[in-house]
Amino acid sequence: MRTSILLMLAVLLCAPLDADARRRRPKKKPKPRPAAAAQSAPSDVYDSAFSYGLDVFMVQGKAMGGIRLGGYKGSIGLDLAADLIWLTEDDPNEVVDSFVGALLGLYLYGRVVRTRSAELRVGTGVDVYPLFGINADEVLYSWPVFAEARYWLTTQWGIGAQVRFNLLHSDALEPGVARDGQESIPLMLILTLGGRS
Amino acid sequence: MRRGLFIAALAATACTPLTFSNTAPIDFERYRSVYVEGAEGGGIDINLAGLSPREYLIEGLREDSGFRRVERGPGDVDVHLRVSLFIDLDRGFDREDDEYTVTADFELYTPDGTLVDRGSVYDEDEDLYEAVEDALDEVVHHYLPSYRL
Repeated sequence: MRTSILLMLAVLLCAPLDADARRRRPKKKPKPRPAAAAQSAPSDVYDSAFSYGLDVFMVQGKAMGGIRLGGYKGSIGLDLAADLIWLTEDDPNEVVDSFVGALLGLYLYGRVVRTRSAELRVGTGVDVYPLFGINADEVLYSWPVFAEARYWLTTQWGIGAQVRFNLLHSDALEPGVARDGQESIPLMLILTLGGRS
Repeated sequence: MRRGLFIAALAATACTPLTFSNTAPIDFERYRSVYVEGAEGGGIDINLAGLSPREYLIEGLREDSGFRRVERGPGDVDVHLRVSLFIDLDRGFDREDDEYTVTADFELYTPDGTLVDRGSVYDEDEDLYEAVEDALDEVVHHYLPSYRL
């Protein structure tokens, strides 16, 4: 019992001394946490780059595809596209053999989500369809908006899928309408194999 | 959930139809053959790659229009296409600033004189020949056939 009382007294006397010792002890600098460091650094590999790619349009009764060139800086990018259009079904009126014309596009986009391996783009622009397979003066126009998801297989090469909707278009351009007049969702799907450097 | 929505959106848009269409200004099943008259350069000798304006128009109509037969002579045809060219020169300070306006007025009528279609197109260019060519190209463009591609 006497021993216990002595021990308690010793603790009570030592406690303030220990607190003083703690106050005098130099503070340790907090070590930077790796997770916090990763959050503040740029999340994708290339903050700015030239970009290039091959596009294939998933369009009924036509083969549409071509190249896309452009670049981005930070979260803003600009693309130019040139695609060619062929019929894969016979034209009963024989207006064209197979070749219909081209699609030329200029697009401005924002990279709204970007990580090391993937990004999501949304953008708009102008599509011009010079249908010189029909006539040199036959030109149609549309104003598209799009969302595009890209997955980078390597730091330079990736695959993507774009969904495009035309806000405005020439009367003679009928997205989402089949030859027989049957209507469906007027969204175009475009698959891309793209690179950057 | 998000992946499912994305795949659903892709599936919905896969192979969407996209149609290019045109409605012809006249019924080409009824008016199959045409005789082209006029399209002279208003006294100016215009040579469009070795062709007179009229010949150039005939070639263009044969290539792209909805007419099955385009004739130089008024033989057995369904309609006559009369084209009148008007050339206007807007002089600039220098010769390089000169600009030509070429207007092509056209009328399509049956051999008995019934008017079927009429119109007017024009083009402006610093080069007279280019302006004439483009105005005649517009006439051909007007007579494109109906299509749904």
